[in-house]
Amino acid sequence: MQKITSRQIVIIGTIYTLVTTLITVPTQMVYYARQHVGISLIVSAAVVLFGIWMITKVLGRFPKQDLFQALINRYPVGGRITSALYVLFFFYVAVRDLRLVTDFTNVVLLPTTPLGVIAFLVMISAVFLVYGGVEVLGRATEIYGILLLLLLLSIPFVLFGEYDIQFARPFLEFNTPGILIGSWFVLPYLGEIIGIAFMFTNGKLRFKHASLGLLLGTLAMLTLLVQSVLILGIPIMSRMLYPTYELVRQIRVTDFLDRFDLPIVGIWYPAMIAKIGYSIFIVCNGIKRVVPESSGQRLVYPVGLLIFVCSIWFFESSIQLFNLNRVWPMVAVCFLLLIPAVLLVAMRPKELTSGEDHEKGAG
Amino acid sequence: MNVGQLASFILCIMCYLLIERRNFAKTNTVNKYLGIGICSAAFLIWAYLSSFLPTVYPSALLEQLEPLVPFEPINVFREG
Repeated sequence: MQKITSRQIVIIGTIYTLVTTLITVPTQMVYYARQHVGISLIVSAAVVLFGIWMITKVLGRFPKQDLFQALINRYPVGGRITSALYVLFFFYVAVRDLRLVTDFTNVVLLPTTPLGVIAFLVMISAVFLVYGGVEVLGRATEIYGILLLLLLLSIPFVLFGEYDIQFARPFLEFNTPGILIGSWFVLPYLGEIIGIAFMFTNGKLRFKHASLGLLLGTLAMLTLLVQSVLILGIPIMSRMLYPTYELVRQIRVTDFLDRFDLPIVGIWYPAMIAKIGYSIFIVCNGIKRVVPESSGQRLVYPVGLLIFVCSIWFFESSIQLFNLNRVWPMVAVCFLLLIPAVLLVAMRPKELTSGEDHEKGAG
Repeated sequence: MNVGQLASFILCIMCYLLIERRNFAKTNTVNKYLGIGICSAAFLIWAYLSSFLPTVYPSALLEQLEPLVPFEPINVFREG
């Protein structure tokens, strides 16, 4: 029996929300939402909170079952089809995340190393992590997730002197369509937190865990976004490939900590690998539920291999990942809001039979 | 992609089989078929990427949804 604590679930939710969101999306958000990019993030977080509420409400009706089990036990055919769709969704998320981290490494750290080699090394690490089960994932997240959060939330103390408040002006000139478009870009990234409903059973996962995870992730992201605007400025930030990395590069505490970006990337990297691991875990768990008598653990290596290959195949270049952010929210909204809304209605508790009703009345 | 990369990919699958051979032998038929099926799919994709065929990128197909996006594509990455 694998053990996982409430704190680990919260941190897993935070990592699911945070680590991919801070790579490329800030550029597009800032381009549209300008100085009010923080409001875009909060609007998206509110929408995702509603999605989480729906998912946890559905999960709450099925004691000691994850959402895959609940779906398949209630509707053997329809539940399997819906589960397979969610498996495909998280498969695509894993592929995109692997390609994002591969491109980032290639552009920033290892420009002459072939993409395939970087992707393979990341995937091997993620696969070994998942092979140990959800307990290993939880423990890895607990170490690196908390470290990452502490580091990100401590950046303001180091960079406080660099802020230029002029970049955030005019404060009260709200561009509502721009803010909403900014929310559009970040919505699928924040919404991936619903994945934890497919990882943990009802007894372990509650609404407060998921919402706290989302809150922490949003808070850390908000801190980064506001600082990026105040330090880099909107015109520069909206034309950068990785603005958050540029923000972190501004940290120069002393000569000794001149390249403080490398330790931060060094802590972010395992968190990113863990996030890819969650998606692999969900895919394997989903296949295990959909196909009877199959073992999720046996599928980890083949699924990892397929994700690795698809990360090379699906995207022509890193720019395609940016362009995809425009259309991906349309797909993601179906999985984050529409299907949960349908499940909330369709998976109502069954009405009590007359015998049970009588017993209840007598009791 | 080239033949060398295809060969390295085959090497990866062989390493996987070498590491997992005992578990693979012990596991049930469903797992064997699923494992072989997924690995074969991965191998076919890699072979396709290594071939001389012009590659079709699935994400480019997903971009066909763009007319349905509720705002204009005014983006710095498209202007260049």
